[in-house]
Amino acid sequence: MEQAEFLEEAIEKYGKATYNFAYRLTGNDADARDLTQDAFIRVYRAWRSFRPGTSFISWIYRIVTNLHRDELRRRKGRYLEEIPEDNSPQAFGGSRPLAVTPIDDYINQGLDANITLALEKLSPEQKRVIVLADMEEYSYQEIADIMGCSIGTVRSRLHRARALLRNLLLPIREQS
Amino acid sequence: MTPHCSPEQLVDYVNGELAAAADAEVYLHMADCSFCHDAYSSELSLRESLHNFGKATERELPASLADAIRQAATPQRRVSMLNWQSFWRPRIALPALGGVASLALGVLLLSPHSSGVSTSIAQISAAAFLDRHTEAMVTMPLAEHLSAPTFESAATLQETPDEE
Repeated sequence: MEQAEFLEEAIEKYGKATYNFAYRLTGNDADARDLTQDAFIRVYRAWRSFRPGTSFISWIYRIVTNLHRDELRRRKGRYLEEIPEDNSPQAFGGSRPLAVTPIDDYINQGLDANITLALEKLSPEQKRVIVLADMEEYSYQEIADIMGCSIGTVRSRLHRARALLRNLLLPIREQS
Repeated sequence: MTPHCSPEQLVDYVNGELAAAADAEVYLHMADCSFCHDAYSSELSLRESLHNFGKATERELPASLADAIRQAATPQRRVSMLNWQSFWRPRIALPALGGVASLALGVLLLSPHSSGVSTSIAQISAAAFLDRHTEAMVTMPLAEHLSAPTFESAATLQETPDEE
């Protein structure tokens, strides 16, 4: 397989997942695009180092994780202004099934907004582990491989993150 | 087991990350402990909320981003094609070197005396030039300012001694 062909297949199969992962880590479209593009360029350059039979998604997620960590370090100390988005999540933009009632929509919208806010309270490391463990349902071992740390570290980060989310979200959920 | 499951144990249980024996222990404990069962239900509900949130906020890969990746990758490809370091790769360098060597050898074999012939012509031409110059000096000693015979005309003079 040629390099260009490899890139094309990688974009087609894993582009969406990679972009979504980047979006969840960064929280905005512009940074998610940059992160995704940089990750794919690295994959393109190092395509020969990919061994068939290993997990491509773990590889590219690891690249995204490292790039995101580097970017946060680079920006450390700078004032971060949230980028206004004209492309904010169109969760209810017509593609949603009509079986959901307006009341459910209202509750879910509120819950989604609260989850978004609660996720912002987590450290970047905790956020990564929540995204991978709970949203994408990776095993601790896979998360450890992606994040380049031990399973014990994954476990403790996840426990702390879940405790924080539990305290923030469960009371709201019970109220609704 | 302690009276109740710890939150950490329940997180690992919900995520299916407990060892088989510990998993069975929690499972059996929850059958008799409503407190832990409720805590487990809350933990499971939180996980489901996070998972559903992930699904609900999932985005399509923007087509412009895919194009941008392709475009950003293309110059990389051009650079690597033009990279001179690639010339030193054995599979490129060895055939190229062999080609150059065989070409040089072919030239040498096809014209073995070419360099000797050109040298002798140059020597004859130079000798004729000097003879002509000496002759001119004898006949016109004060004509130093006149233009000396050109190399081309001197080259033609190599035939003249026979004619005289």
